[in-house]
Order: sequence, then structure tokens, then C-alpha cells
Amino acid sequence: MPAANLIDLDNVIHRAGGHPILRVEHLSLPPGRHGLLLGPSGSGKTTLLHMLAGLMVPDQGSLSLLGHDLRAIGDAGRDRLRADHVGIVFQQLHLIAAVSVADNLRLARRLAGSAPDEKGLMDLLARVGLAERARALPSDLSQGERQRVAVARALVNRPALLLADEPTSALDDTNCDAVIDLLLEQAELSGATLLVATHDRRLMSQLPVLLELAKPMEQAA
Amino acid sequence: MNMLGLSLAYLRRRPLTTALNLLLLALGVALIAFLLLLERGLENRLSRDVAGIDMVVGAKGSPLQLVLSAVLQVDVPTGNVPLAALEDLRRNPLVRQAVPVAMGDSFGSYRILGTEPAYIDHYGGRLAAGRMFEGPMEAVLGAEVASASGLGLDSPLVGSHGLTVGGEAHADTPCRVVGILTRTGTVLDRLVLTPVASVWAVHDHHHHHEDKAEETADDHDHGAEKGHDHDAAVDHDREVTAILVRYATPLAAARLPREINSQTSMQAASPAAEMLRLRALMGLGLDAMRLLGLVLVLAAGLSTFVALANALQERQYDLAVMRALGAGRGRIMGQILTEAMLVALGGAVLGIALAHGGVAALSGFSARGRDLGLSAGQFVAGEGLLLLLSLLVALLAAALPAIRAYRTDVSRLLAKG
Ligand SMILES: Nc1ncnc2c1ncn2[C@@H]1O[C@H](COP(=O)(O)OP(=O)(O)OP(=O)(O)O)[C@@H](O)[C@H]1O
Ligand SMILES: [Mg+2]
Repeated sequence: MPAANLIDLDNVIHRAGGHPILRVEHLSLPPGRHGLLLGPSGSGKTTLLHMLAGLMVPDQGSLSLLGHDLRAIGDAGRDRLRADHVGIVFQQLHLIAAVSVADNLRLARRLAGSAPDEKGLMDLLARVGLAERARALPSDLSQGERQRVAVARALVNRPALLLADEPTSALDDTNCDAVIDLLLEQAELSGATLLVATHDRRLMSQLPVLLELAKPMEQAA
Repeated sequence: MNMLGLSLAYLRRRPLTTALNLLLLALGVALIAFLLLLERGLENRLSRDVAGIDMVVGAKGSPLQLVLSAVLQVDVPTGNVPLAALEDLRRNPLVRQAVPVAMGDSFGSYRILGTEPAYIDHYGGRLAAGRMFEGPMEAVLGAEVASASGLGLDSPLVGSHGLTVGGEAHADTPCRVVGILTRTGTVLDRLVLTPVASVWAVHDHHHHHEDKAEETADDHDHGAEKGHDHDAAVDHDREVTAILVRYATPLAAARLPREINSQTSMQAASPAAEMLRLRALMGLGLDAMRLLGLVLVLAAGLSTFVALANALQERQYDLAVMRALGAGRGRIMGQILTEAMLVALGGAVLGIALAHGGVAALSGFSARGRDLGLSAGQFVAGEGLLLLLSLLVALLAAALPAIRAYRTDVSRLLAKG
């Protein structure tokens, strides 16, 4: 039976260094419902995104991705699930500097174990306006171009879930709007559901808030 | 973009480090491989040249020198022995065959050897052209001599005095080439073969000259008489440089050398025993060089380790991102190992190529190299082991960085970034 929701999360608590750093009572995300994870710095947004990507598991609570219990499927299972269904755009982008734009995308397919798809890959680059820059090294690109490469790379395996961590933190209003438009548009075209973690309340005009995090300390107080 | 391509891309990003590691490994491997090839050549040459000769009889002196000079034709002889000794040996029932060798002259860098056709038969020499020598001043050329000198049948061959290049030419007593041998891969290839009588004739002639020169200088008045004496003395004064002996029975080994050494003014040496000594002597030097090669290979391993450890520091985000893109831990570990293996493989192949290049150069430019019968196209089993050794060293060098990469807490790393 296919899961109805991309994400089902209940009563998650995570601690680090003896302190709780993340506390979420409930979150469920049906496919196609793009939205924001809003919270101030240090409220655990990145921690939660990493959990959703299967890069870590919560100390307590239950968390399922496409119906799979992330704790139950183990390390290898989470790697597999992430490869097949999750794309991530990091705040620092983290492009592989040693290889070209196109190779960054190829590598992403390769590492996820997907079959090579040159046409799909070039179409994707064209869609984000980088067809001409396919062979350039990331260091030769502008910051905006790099961000588009990161978005394309996150989508190259056609994930069901597209996660973006603080994509707009250092941008002015115009660029901020443009990045969210790009993410939304590309997610739609790829059939992915977009979840943006941010402290940037400007984004509330473009995306609904799915979850608002507070610092667990303050919550407790 | 596959893992190999990615590894290459990373290696290219730090060209100096990569080049240094490659070079260190290549030099170490080249040194060891070169020694292996040299040893193999030497071993082949020695065993082929010494095969079937049970004993060498020559003038007293170093037995190793005797074997080197009379069998391998590399050292200077210890002296001469009387021709009568040859007859004695031939009469001895313990001896199956006794073949004389007489030297003293050379042709370019090749020795002129006075001997009998049995010597050529012993090394399996076949005539490629012409016939066997029959009388004095007839010469048969080894294959190498023929191809290097370009001499053909009926060409005159002028030897020079002494066993080193540049001796006085015997221009007025040329030999005539009557036969050319096929290649045997033995000492035969590098010799000009002629009857012992030719060697005597050349030197008799030579002595006449010397005598005459002396006479003029001393203003002696009974020169003719002296010359006559010399000619008359010829037959019972005849000498050869050494005698190569094959035993008729294994018992001979226990008696014959002892008899000769104790009862005559000559010495008997066993080529097999001397070759063992030679190998032991060479072994020390070769071991030292091999050790140096090994040290270089290990240094390459260490340097690869440092490079990978540094690279890991620089690339921790890349590796974390690769995990975030779906790669399992094993994949990340494989990436590090692949990189080290690439350097190892490249270095080892480069080193082996260098060694063979060295052999080609050696055998191309020097007669000494050709002497060893080295061939650049042939590989020895040790080279395969060398390749494995390089890969093993790289594996060890990469193990720690790879394990660290395996254990990286991706989430924490990416959250920091
Ligand atoms: N492994 C860890 N050990 C100790 N503390 C941690 C660890 N991971 C995260 N934290 C802490 O947990 C809190 C939440 O971190 P997280 O990165 O999820 O916050 P965030 O909402 O993404 O903040 P920002 O907006 O600054 O990126 C922070 O105070 C952080 O220092
Ligand atoms: Mg964060």
C-alpha cells in the first residue's frame, strides 16, 4: 500500500551535548504541498532537514519517509531512500569544485545509483538556464549560477522531496523572490514537493508555513 | 562521471603532490625492477656460459679470475699453461673432453679466442655462412661480432694486441673470415674464433718485431742467430691460456682438481663454485640497492598517506555531500582507496616502464649491456610482485584516511558548513 504522505513525524525529540536541540510534536506532508519550516537560528531547522533526508535519526519519536520508518530501515536503507527520493540544496551549496557543472549532475546520478541520462541532464541544465555553462567549473560561475546548479543537482534524480536549507539568507528581496520562484518552478516541473527551512519571514509571502520551530529551551521555559 | 573520473579529477587538482607521489613510487619500483632484470640477464648469461664446463685449468692465481677470464671472457687471464698440460689431461681417463683456449688479442671490443671447433660445438654454435676454421689465420665470427662489425666472408680481420680496446694493431698479420655463426645467446656470440695456432703465429710475428726493435736499439750483432733460436724453440714452448674440461665421471670432481692444485704449477677451478661465490658477492651489493628501492616505495606510501590525509581535510565537505547525494559509506571509502590505487598503479607501471627503458638503453648503447643478453621486451615474475607490493603499500596508506571518511558524521559536518 503506497503511503499517502511524504513525511509522517510524531513526537520527535533530539538531544545533543545533553540539551534538547529539536522538539517537534507532529508534521505530516502530503505530496505537492510545498511549504516552509520556519524558525530562528538555532531552533533545529537544519537538524530536522537532515533527519528528513535520513542523514541522522531522532533520539525519540517516530519519523517515516514515504511510509518507511527511517529508524527501522538502518543506515544502508536510509542511504537508499535518500538516493531515490530526496534532493537537498545546502545553504553553502557544496558543489564539487573539482569537476564541471555537468559532472556535478552526473556524479549525483552516479552516486544515487541511477542510470546515466545525458538528455534529461542537459534538459535540466537548460531549464535552469545553464546549458551553456555545462562544462564550466563551479569556481567560474557567479553565486546565482552556482545556486541554480545546486538546484539542478538536487533534482537530477527526480526526487519526491526537495529540501532547501536557508536558500535566501544572504539575498536581497529581488533575488530572494527569484530563488524561491526557481525552486518552486523546478520542483513543480520535476514533480517534487518543496520544503524550505528558513528563518527568513519574507518567504511567508510565497510559501505557507508548515511548521514553526522555537528553540527547545524557550519552549520548555 | 564515474568514480575513476572523479578520482582523476581530484588527482589533477593537486598536480604537484600527485607528481611527487608518482615519482617516488616510480623511482623505487624502477630501481627494484631494473635490478631484477639485470640479475635475470646476468643469471641467464652465467648459467648458459658456464653450463657443461666442469673444471677450468689455468695458471695459478685467483680461481674466480680464472673462470671469469677463461669461461665468461670478462677478466684478464691469470697467465698461461704449457700446451703439454692439454695432452696430459686428454690422456687422463677421468677427462671426457679438454678444450684449449688462448687469448691475448682483440678485435674492437671483442676478444679473439684461439681454440678448437669443439669449443663452438660445446655452445651449440652453428654456421650461418661459410665453413669452420681449418688452418691458422682463419677466423669464424660470433653472430654479435659479425653484425656489429659488418665483416663478411673473406674479409680480412686485423686484431690488436691486448684484451682492451686500443692496443697496438697487428696490421701485417690479418686473419681471414671463413665462417659466421648463428646467434646462440652465449659468450660465443661475442668472440672471434680461430685456431690456437693463429694466436701463436700473430705473437711470434710480434715477437720478431720486438726482437728486431731491441736489436737496433742495443746495436746487437748476432740478431739473426737469436731469431733462429726463437723459431726453433716454438714447438715445445707452446702455451695456451687455459683448458676447459668436462669430466668423464663424477668421481673426477673429487680427485682431479686436488691433483692439479697440489702436484702441478697450475690451478683448477670449478666454474659452478666460482659462480656461487660471484653471486654471493654481487648479492650483497644488489641487496643494498634493493633496500634502497624498497625505502623509496615505502616513502611513496608515506607521502601518499600524507597527501590523502590532507586531501581528506580539504574534501570533507565533498565527501559529506556525496553521502547526502545518496552514496553509501562504502562508496566514500572506495573513492579514497581508488585514488591511492590509481597513484600506485600509475607509479608502478611508470617504474616498470622506466626499468625496461633503462634495459633498452643499456643494451642499445653499451657492449656490456649486450653482453648480458638483456632484452627490454621480456618481463620477470618479480615485476608482477612489485606491482602487487605497490598496490599493497597504497592500500595501507589509504586505509586510515578511508576509515576516517567512512566514519564521518555527515550531518554534523554539513550543519556546520
Ligand atoms: N552535533 C551537535 N552537537 C551539539 N550541538 C549541536 C549539534 N548539532 C546541532 N547542535 C546545536 O543544535 C542547535 C540547532 O542546530 P541547527 O543547526 O539545527 O539549527 P538551525 O535552526 O539550522 O540554525 P541556523 O539557522 O543557525 O542554521 C544549535 O544550537 C546547534 O549548535
Ligand atoms: Mg541551519
